[in-house]
Amino acid sequence: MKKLLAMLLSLLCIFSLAACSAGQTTDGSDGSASANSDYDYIAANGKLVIGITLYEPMNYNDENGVLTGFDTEFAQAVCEKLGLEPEFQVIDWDMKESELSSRNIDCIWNGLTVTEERRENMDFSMSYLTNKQCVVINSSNAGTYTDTASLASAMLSAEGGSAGEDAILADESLSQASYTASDSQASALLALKSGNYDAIVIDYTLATASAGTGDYTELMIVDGIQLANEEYAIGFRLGSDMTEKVNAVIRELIDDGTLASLADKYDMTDLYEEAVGK
Amino acid sequence: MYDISNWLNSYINEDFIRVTVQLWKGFGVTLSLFFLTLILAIPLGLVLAFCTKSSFPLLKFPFRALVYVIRGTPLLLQLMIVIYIPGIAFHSPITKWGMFGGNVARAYFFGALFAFVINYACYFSEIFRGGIENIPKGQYEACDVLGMTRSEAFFKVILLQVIRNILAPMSNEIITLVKDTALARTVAVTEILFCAYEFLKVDAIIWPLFYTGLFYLVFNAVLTWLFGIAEKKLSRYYK
Amino acid sequence: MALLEVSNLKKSFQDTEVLKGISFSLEKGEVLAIIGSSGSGKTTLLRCLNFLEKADSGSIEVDDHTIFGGDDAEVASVLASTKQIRKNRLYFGLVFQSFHLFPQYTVLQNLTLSAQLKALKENKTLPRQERRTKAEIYRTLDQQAMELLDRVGLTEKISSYPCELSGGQQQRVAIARALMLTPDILCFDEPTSALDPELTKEVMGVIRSLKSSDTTMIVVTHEMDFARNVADKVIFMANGIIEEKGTPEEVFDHPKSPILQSFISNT
Repeated sequence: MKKLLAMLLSLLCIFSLAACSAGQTTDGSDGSASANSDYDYIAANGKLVIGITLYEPMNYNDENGVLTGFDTEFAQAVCEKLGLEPEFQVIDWDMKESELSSRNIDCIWNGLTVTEERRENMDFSMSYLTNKQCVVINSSNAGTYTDTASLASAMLSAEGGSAGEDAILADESLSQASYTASDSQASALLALKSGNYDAIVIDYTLATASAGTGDYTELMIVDGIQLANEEYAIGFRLGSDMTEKVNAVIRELIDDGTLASLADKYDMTDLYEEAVGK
Repeated sequence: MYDISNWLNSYINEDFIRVTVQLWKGFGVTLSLFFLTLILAIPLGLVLAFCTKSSFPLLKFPFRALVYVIRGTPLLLQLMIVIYIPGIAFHSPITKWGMFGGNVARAYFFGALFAFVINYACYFSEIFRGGIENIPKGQYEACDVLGMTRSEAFFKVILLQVIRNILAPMSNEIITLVKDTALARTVAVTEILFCAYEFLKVDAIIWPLFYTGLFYLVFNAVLTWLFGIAEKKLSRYYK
Repeated sequence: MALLEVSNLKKSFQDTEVLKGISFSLEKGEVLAIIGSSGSGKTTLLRCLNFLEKADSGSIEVDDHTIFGGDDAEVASVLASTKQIRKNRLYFGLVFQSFHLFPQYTVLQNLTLSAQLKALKENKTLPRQERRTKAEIYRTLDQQAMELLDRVGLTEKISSYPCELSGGQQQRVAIARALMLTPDILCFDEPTSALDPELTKEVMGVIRSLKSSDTTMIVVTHEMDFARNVADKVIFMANGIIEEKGTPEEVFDHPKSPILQSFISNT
């Protein structure tokens, strides 16, 4: 019996190694010792490695193949003030916590929503945008789905584990609907387009960038529905002194109007003003 | 001993039990997908093998083309075609088909199953075709002169020899199938990896993802063991 | 009337005429040896008799039944159907050069397999009260198989698999398997060519013993000793025709055709 236990334990140990490296254990010495000198570490490298995924309007390649977007330009502006070279690294969004703690990247700067769960694994900068969740439907159903009550018997989807999923489960009417989690927001959009779902709940920024464009011309945001808001912020390693340094720079950029004009450029003035005020 | 039980407790906590239960549920979906694919793709593959080696051109060429296309494109793409194309191209979304009774999970499961069955039937058919073509002509002639019908000859004499010929390539393909079921995650089939990703996204815990490896490993160990037995049994007839 | 009557059998592969009109007859209980160099058409002749090849023209009659071709085109086309062929080919048994035993079955099962299938099908056509149970049928066939294995001297090998037997033993099993369906004429296609001399003797001994029990046989062979000592009739084939036929004495001691003369002096 003891042998069996020992075997089980060693297996568990192997399969839980990643858990340790992700900073799951709070008593681990892994994070705290180096966290004090996180800025020094980054400054010594001379560059800030920024974890992103490619999506409009935050980080995407323009028609010339040059990386641009609100977060891209924002990060470039901040790095310039810090005297660091920004290096954008495309990551698997699902693996962002371990990418961060393993120092593959130095921060997550990609429309990252602030949540209580995530606070256990990372530090957040100040919020710079308000993230709204919105309902997207096929415009042929515009007359049918006008508010949350009309969606109570519809087929809904959102990305599994996303803020959109939380919004559906928290809403009195939407939680009545038949809900299926999607693999990603992109595949939720595709499934909506194919009619597999009647409505999906996704980030407002993604919804405005995709609904009505390209192959999604017949998709539209339902205007009348207000769902819970969240905030976008930059994620750093737990206890990192980068958070303070970056916050100071963000304040400078707010004060000199750089960030406001950036928001204007990407048509997100309302989201920006909700987060930091006018 | 105290240390070990302390250490044990830190693992066998609520999270561990919750994750294990959830992953078991997901693994149930994985196994359903695996076994149903196997049960349906093997006979279909046999039929396809006969079609592609038929001397009748109307049968031979369309099915050869099908096998070529299916083998030449990623399963991931085929999954997406089954799930999204009925709605996008034909305005008949798979989730609204009457036979699924408005159950989205069921529609996705059977949609994915369909893609898996077609894909694996095509791979199996090529293995079967090779296995059948490798049977010496003399075996058929011996059946002929003993007055057996074509189907008696096939089922009583040829089939087992075909099985022996294809056992090694089939066991490879079947173990690949176990792992390929993970692709169904992308079309929202709640198999084991999908469940593990949910923990990643919702609770930000990573280890369930690696824990799934244990499920796959143990199951493949059982399969490998069974194939070993089958190989031993069949090799008895040959030196 | 002879047991087997073959008239003017012709067969071509693409442009090559392999059988150019073969006619011969065979009485019940006779042993016919067919000799000739490779490519002379002797194996094709045997395969035509067993319907492994379909002859182009000519006729085959066994025991006064026309089983292939004939003068009446309508009858001939009926005879060419798969079902009729399956029935008619059972007048013949065939032992192959390389045995072709079924590897996944034991010696006993190799003998009984096709007989079981046949008996079960016949049983179904009987009126209900006359039908026998599967177990009864199998028991009778096992009995018959045991007797045949006794005749070829392999009773101790009934549970062995073909791969566990020597070539000579495998060929003896193949002979017993062909006899299981009680053919009127047993054909051998170079039955010892794949065997070394010692094993050849063993198989030839079995064929000799079959002759003493009045089995009608056609043996395509390279064994001149066998043809001379065992056969009642010898046919010498060359270039798709019967160059010469007669008793062993006539063929071997007084060959008329120059081709046969050089063939005999070369072997």
